[in-house]
Amino acid sequence: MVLIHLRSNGIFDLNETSARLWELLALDSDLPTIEAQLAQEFSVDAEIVHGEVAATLSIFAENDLIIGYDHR
Amino acid sequence: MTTADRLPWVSQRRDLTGSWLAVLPSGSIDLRVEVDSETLDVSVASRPGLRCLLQGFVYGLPPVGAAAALQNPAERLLDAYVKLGEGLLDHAKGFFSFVISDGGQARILAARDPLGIHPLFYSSTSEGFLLSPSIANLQARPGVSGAINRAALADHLRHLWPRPTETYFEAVTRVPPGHALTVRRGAVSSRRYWDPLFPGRRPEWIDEADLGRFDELLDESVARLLALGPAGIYLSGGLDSVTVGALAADHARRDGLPMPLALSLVFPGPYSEKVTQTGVAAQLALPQLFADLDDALGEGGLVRAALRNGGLSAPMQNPWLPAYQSLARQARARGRDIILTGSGGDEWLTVTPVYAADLLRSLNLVELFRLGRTQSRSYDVAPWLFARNMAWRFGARPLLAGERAIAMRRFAPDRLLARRLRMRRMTLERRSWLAPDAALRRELLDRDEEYVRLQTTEDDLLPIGGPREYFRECRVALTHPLVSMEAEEVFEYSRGAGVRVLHPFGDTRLVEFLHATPPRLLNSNGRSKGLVRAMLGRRFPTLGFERQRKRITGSFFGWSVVTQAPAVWREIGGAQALAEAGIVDPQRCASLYETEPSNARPTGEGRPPDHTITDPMWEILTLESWLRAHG
Repeated sequence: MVLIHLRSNGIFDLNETSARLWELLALDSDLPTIEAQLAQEFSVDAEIVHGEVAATLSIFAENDLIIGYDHR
Repeated sequence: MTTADRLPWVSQRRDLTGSWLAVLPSGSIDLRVEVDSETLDVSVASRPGLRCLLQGFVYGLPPVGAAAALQNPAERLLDAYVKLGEGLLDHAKGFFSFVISDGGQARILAARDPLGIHPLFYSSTSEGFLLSPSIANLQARPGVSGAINRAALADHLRHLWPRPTETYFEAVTRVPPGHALTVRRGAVSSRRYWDPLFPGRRPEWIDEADLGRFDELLDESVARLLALGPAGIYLSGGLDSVTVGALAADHARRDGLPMPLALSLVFPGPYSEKVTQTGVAAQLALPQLFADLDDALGEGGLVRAALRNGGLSAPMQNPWLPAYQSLARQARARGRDIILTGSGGDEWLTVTPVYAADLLRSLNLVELFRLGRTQSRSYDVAPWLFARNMAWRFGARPLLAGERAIAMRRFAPDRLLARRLRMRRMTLERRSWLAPDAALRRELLDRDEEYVRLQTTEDDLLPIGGPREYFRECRVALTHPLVSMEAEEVFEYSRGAGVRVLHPFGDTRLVEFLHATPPRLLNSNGRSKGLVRAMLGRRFPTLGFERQRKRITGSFFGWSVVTQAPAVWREIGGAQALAEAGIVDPQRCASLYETEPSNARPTGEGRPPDHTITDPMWEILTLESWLRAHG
């Protein structure tokens, strides 16, 4: 998946897992549900998914792709 | 699909494969800059009469006025220039190259970072003065000749690089690491602006109480590089890359960054470190990618991979780079465009065994014993061999040679020159196949003389009252032209894969600190690389690296060359291009390739192939492929 930020012209590549995360965000799911779903769908340890989702959301937020997210 | 592929990643598209060119038109001070891509790591800033282009990052500039709040790195640099002029070079640290044009002063100031991680080259043409980190970019301009520098190629074959500024092209000149260039009214001058080796003054050693600064500086360095974007790490299984991996994982966890991706090259059979690499990544919870060396090098192994890479700006030096480039491409495809390495650990964390000569001179036998014990504990080499090396090879022999040179310089300088010249010329006589062309041979002899004259002034750069042989070795490790060329090669390869390869141990402040750390403290706890071992032991007690020894294995490189090069030599029809340029005699060279070794894989035991045979076999082929691509 490719995201294009229309104001900054930034282009962002997302792998399959990030693309799924983006879809789940668009469905307004809460974070624990999203993480559990990703862990199950991609067969990755829940704790690892938690850290990686937080890091990915931070990148989304830093680049104004999402608003209102604070990883702290 | 590996775990690394199943984790989420996002990466902003950046085109790091491009480059830039700065043109100072003849008779003008109006700098023109051409940048290949908007997403390159380059920033440009302008003010009335001033223009600045910066690639990479600079830190350490004093927070002057509003500069701290400026977002654009080139703006910050330009602001520092306005306030400090050339004095900004006293503060500039990091990995960068920059050019500033100053209409008021009618000059250009350009600089390459202290360790030369970012290359910088220039050419003068009728169009004007041109600067770029890319030789290909310079050569794409009309008026920049592609003529090869055949004396430099011939000297390469006898392991001599007498002019730090020359490249393998006649029309392109290098700015060496840590140097600044000033161009004023067409006159070009260059000076070293960074020298952490106390030239001509007393060493300012740190105290034992300051050693804690090491952890802080390395931490800061890793954090600075991780902030540049999602990162990978070349994880070899050795102490240096494990240290970088451990710190990077720690930072990522603490700061909510993506976990760095461990990138491990797996050597075949007895040379494999896969068990260690897997164990370390698992302990640090790093996602990991492997590449088998044979797959990464592609068909035909190491020698054919080198031949396929003849189109680069210089003949290939590091035979493993094509394999690492393959790993870098995989990292890039997974959103990582920063790759950290453990490079520099061997250079700055270890004490050269030649320090034994200084200890012998001062009759500090207790410290000499400690140095020997440290070496034998840290390397897997027979104790008797270490004892012999410490006493003679690294002790009495360099001590006597150094004392003799000092005495001859004082009382018989002409004899010293003649002696050094004779030794240099022997490198030509020993290679009967080199420089059959009489004009080239004369040129090499002239270059020898020029180099030997310069060499006699090098002692003036040694510190006063410090361990002389120790600092002499440190200076070679810092300023040898090969160090610069290696950085240029890594830059060109990594940019070709769309990534930035950066070295936390090469952080400017950290290198300054390590050069100011007395050798006995570098070997703290009685082991080589004592500082990182102690840090790893404190912060990551389960890793068990405090007592790891460095394995000195047989040469996989040598084996690859001996088994692959003869067939390649026959296939390509010998050194035709080098012969045509008068650089080698092809008939005499051919005898080097007249071996028919077994094709069996090496076991890692026994004596490695003789490097005095494998080195020229490799070098002639890499130079031949380079010359065919550029001749």
